[in-house]
Amino acid sequence: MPSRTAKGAARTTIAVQGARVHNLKNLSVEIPRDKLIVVTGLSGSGKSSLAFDTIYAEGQRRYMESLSSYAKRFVAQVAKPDVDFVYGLSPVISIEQKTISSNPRSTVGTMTDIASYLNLLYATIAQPHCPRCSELTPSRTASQILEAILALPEGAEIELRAPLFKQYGEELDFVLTEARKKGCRTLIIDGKPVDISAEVELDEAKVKDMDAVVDRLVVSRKHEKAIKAGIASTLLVGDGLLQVHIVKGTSQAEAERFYRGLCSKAHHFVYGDIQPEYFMFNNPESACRTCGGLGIHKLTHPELLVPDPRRSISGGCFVREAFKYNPDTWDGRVMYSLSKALRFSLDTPWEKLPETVRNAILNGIDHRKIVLSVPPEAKVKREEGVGKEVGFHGIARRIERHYRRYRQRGEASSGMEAWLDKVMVEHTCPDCTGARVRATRLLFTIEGKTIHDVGQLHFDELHAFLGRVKPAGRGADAGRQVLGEVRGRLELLLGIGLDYLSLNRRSGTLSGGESQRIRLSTQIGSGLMGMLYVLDEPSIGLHPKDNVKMIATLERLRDIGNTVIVVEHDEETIRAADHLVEMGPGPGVHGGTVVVQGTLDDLLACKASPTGQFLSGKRRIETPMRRRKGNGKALRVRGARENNLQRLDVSFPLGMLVAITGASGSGKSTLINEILYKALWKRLVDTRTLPGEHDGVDGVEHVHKVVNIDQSAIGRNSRSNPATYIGFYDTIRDLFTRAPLSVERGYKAGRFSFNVKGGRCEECQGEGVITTQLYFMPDVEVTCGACKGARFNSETLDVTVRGKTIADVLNITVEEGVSFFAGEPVVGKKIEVLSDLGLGYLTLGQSATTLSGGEAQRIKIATELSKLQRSKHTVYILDEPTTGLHLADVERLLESLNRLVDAGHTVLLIEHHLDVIKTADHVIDLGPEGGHAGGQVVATGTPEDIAACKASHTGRFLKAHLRA
Amino acid sequence: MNTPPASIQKKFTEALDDLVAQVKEDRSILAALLCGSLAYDTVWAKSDIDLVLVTIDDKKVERAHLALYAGGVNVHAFLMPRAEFRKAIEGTLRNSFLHSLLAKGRLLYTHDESIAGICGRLHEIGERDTQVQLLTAATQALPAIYKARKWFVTRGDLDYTALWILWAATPLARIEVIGARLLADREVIPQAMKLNPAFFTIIYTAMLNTRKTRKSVREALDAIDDYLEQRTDMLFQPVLDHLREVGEARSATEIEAHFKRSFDVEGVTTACEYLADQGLIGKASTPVQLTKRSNVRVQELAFVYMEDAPDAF
Repeated sequence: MPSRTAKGAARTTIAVQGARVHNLKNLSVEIPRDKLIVVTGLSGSGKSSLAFDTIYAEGQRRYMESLSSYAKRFVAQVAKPDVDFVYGLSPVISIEQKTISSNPRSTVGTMTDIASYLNLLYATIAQPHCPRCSELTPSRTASQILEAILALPEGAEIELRAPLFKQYGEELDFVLTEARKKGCRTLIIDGKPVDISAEVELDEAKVKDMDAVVDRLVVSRKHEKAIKAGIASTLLVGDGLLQVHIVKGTSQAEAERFYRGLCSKAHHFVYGDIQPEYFMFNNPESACRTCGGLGIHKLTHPELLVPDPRRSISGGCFVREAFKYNPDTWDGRVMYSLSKALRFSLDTPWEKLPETVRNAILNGIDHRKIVLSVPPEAKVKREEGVGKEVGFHGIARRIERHYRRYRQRGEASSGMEAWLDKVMVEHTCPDCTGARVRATRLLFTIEGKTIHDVGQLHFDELHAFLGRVKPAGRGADAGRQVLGEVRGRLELLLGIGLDYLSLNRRSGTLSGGESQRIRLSTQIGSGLMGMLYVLDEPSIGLHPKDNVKMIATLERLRDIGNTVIVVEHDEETIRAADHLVEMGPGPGVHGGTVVVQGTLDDLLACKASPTGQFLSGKRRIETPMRRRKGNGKALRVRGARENNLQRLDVSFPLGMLVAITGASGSGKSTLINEILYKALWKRLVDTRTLPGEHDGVDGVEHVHKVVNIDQSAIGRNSRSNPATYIGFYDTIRDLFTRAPLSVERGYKAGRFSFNVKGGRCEECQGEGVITTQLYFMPDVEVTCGACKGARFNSETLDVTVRGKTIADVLNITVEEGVSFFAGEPVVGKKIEVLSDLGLGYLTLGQSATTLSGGEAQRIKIATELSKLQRSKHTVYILDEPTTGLHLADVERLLESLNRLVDAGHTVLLIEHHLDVIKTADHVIDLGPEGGHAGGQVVATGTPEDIAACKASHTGRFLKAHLRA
Repeated sequence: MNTPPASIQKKFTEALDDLVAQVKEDRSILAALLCGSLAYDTVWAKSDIDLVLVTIDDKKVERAHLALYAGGVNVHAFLMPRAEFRKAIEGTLRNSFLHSLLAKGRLLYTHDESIAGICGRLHEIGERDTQVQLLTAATQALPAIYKARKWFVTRGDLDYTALWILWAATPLARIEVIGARLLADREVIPQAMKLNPAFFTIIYTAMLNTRKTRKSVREALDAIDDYLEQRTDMLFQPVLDHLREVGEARSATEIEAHFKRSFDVEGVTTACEYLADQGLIGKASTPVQLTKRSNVRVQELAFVYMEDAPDAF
């Protein structure tokens, strides 16, 4: 039983009793409250199981329990963790790294809520302008407009008009039909009234201004409600703008006084009832009509349409999704007719066709026509239309037309998106030019900047800009309050080193660390106390110089009266902790207990603690005695200029362990993932890949293969596991088919698969568990009663190999597997590699969904190591492979990476971890800062060269590290 | 009961006057518009009075239908807030059902002068609206005509063929009336009969009242074919204009989407099929995936405007 506090006194600890989640071994532990606690330990030792799956899950579950059954129907229920009890819990918030939104509508602005405040700020203090002449235009409430109209002489007749805007890529007919649907029959087009129920003869290109007459009213107090409704309808049609036009019943002077008092001078416009939603790109009424608020528009790309230019049109040069020549179809006849008209052969390779012909095939022949004829090879000689003229708009234009129609329908189909992605690339929306909102929203400015301009500013620039804004006049008080709120939130973001981000940046482009820090800042902004925060490795992706700021932020969160539990491997964070808990001693089944807990000194003094051993310097990752010289060849990227890269020329020596370093946002990922990796992939694998902007890559002839080893999962569902991913499960199944009983019964390999009918348990369909969905309670997962979790039926389980069934084999750990498969060279070698990489605690059939990012990455490395080819040079690319790894794991990771390099290959690492950087053969340091202030090569050379470079932030920290 | 006694008319008029006198006192009712038989036709004992009541614009006053009872007569009252009434009149295509109902009506009184102005424009029929309404009527007539021809050719079933011809009679009558730039009534066939008795006797009266023979039914089908052929340009101009403008083949789906979006008209594929049969446009095909998950592409029906001009390159 945990220590009880004196009666009436507040509990000062969180006590976990009998936790058995995952590998936790009936763990009981007591952690102080209102402190900064770091939970550390080897990868797979049970850190996350304690912090997230027990403490956080139980806190969350208890909160959910307090909700009514009605409310529970609307939230996903959390299953009760396998723990006896947790004492001393308070409201708990987890800030993980996993939940990066891929929703294109999510931006840094929406994540931080600053976008909502900016919308409010623009609705309150921005200066609106006239859509026709840009002159300042008043913005009033609907009531103010109503009162102004009612002040006109009784009996005066007015027209309420709304401006109409031509829509990008739409015909005038569409605009007229839309106006009609909104109840407008008369338009004023360039000053002339036009009845759109009649035939409208207009030169579309010459039309400049259009206003719809929405209502015609007689001014009188008794018609107040009608006028009010008229104003509302007009503002709806006019997208927030209206014109009041006096028809009759006033003197010239009265009319002028009215216009002067209410509207803009030249065009008599007034904005009405502008609300914050007016500026919100996620509001359908405000979103750009062309891109629907996404800011992007897709266009076809010739290289995607024609992946293999050595082929001819008849030989299938086009990607299947774009065009396939078939002489028996209409398209085939048109293409044949085009070839006759332009005098080219359908059998000529695409790359040998003249530019004019290629352009005509892709983009059409404008207004010209071609005479239709039938290809001689057509099976059906249809004569209809032969000799007649038809137009041809091109293959690329047709796809773009389909895309526009798809967007107009407002659908979101993953199948369609995948189809489009094969032939189209994202461009800035030509209508809103990336602003995501309709043009009328960009007529509002603060200090000359639109809401989009402001969203493009980096946080440091934005903070300074808002500091210069002095609200005046209407809404000044409210404006000052909103300004204070926005600046306060920006200061929090600046405080954790995110000065290079902007509000318009898409959330999907943020790293896990950046997104975690953003959510952290919103929590600090809430100013709550008494909360329990659980964080997962907040140091990831942070340069050491930014890490200091992150630690200060965590301390601030603690100082305002919260308990902060951090799962972390970073040395600086561990040293900053008030209380440490080390899980272990080993990973997986060897872990699940507390090795040591207490202060840093307790940890340093504990001989059983691997962390203490590293921190005390008793154990360390050694700096190599000598650096490799490489194979003398290099890859050279020329003129890299994607994102913030400033026309870089960078050489990557081959046959070395190369580290790419630099501050967060300095351009490391852009250079490696967007340019180098994609350029190599394009040349070696798929010509349809589009790398980021650069002039070229030299030396590709020295490389035979490129492999990106990231931390993404090795499979999407529980049916993927290390055995299926690495590929030795097929060999294991063959082993079982050769067993005497299998031979006798005629079992084939499929019998031993839990994915297909035959050998698997049909009750659970090979899952081993059965999930029951409950109405307002969490889903219940129970072991399958038929197979008792074995996943196979009893007949299949009759077959054994060396005393083990197929289910037993899937349940043995990698360590056990090494000896079990010692006599099987193919399986044995692959399992040994897994064991060498420190994954001995995983079971062969462990579901992919239960693996951490670090584990998944090491399984991928194991796959590569198990099929090493010395004669072919491979470039391995790894983005922050130390994520989730303890120093002891980092040691093992480096060993395996060095094995790849020693086999003659090249390993490129994007890394902040100084222990990894110091072991590299060559370092490329980008920076000097993030964002605009980054994108340059600060230094290159050995770690010692970098340490000697004064301009390099990495060098400064590395120098201290090398010295230590 | 062809001619109702004058007393019935009197009874209805008195009931209406009585009701309107009461409604005038209601400050939330701005205007009353008499529609239906009593406004422009003859009432009989089972008639009711159709009354559109324009209400004030107020959150608490909503659009509603009410069955009233005044002076022993049923009154169908349709309550519409002013803004909605204005939108309905200005936004509805001329000659649509709602428009015809209101246009044939009579404004009984109004407390808001602007409502009289709105009603005043009900009788102006624009050319663009006429064109769209003609296309709509034609696309409604064509499927029934195809069916009629099919039953005549394949089965020789005269009754069933005649039934399909009668189905087509109403949209054909709309073509006749709208084509004459008149307001089409709810009861449009008698209106059309007056305008083109020769044609409607063959396709309507003869199909209803006389014994159907192969000759009379064929005559009706041929008359319809001739009737449409003579009016092809007038009826299908927007379709021909669109296909001429785009120049290349457009799939049926694309054509439907365009006309729905730009003119709010559906079923244009049938019109294209008719124009292709007439040789005014050509049939083509474009590749299409049957489902979002399809891995093969088949050909979808498409149409194309083709010209004979010799200046191709």
